[in-house]
Amino acid sequence: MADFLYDVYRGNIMGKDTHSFVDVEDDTLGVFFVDEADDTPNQTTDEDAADRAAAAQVPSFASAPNLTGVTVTLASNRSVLDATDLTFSALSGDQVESFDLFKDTGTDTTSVLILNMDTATGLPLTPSGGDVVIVWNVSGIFRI
Amino acid sequence: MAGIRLHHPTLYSCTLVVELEQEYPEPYDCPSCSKIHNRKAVHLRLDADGDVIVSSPVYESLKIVFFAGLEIMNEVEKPPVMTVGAVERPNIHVVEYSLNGQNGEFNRPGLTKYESRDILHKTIKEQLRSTESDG
Repeated sequence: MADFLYDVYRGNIMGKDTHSFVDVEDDTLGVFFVDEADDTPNQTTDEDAADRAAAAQVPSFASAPNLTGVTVTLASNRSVLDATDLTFSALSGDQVESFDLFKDTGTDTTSVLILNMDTATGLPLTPSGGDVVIVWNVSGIFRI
Repeated sequence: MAGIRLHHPTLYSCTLVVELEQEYPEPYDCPSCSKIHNRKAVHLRLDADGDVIVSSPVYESLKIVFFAGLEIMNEVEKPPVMTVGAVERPNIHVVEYSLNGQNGEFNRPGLTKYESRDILHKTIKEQLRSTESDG
């Protein structure tokens, strides 16, 4: 149990070209929750949204909401990604244990997985059919 | 159908952890109750009235455990917003129900195990209709 950046994204930052470069500030970023009883996120082997079993995606890749208000700031030798809090409208499905952030190209095989977070307060989450809001930390979503 | 309100007759202000049949591919280290779950364990956060609202898939998954003693109350058109992330951590008192239900915890208080079982054969709509007529 730990939050992590996917290895494929770490390589992507350094120019490894398994997938197209992820420009977190200008590319579209999406998030879906993960039902880990259907698929356990793997930091090493999972590379893109197609590696996440369809049954584990809550909501599905096609319905995953996109981040808005994305910013990248440099401070104290750190690069910090932040965004507006993200709302999932009328989220339905099984209980979820974590969520994936990914570059959303519209095609799951080219949508690089960026990070998986499973320690956020409120997880595991049992959907009620109502809206779910991910409130990002004041210090950003992640920093490098 | 947006959400279904369930009510526990005796438990409230706690997280009811109900173990289901499905096994995790890898044991799940749960940050909520600080425990390793080998089987899917649904975390139901009961409010001060003993109520919790769940989605239809969760409702369906609870049938295997006879709704863990929960009563079906009503349909909720627009459930309250839930939050994840940088929010205040709730004070969680965990009550666990294991899959075998060996202490009869799956039977609703006041009902026989047969009456509890019969509820499983009703659809959600039938169940809600009978709840309304009772009330």
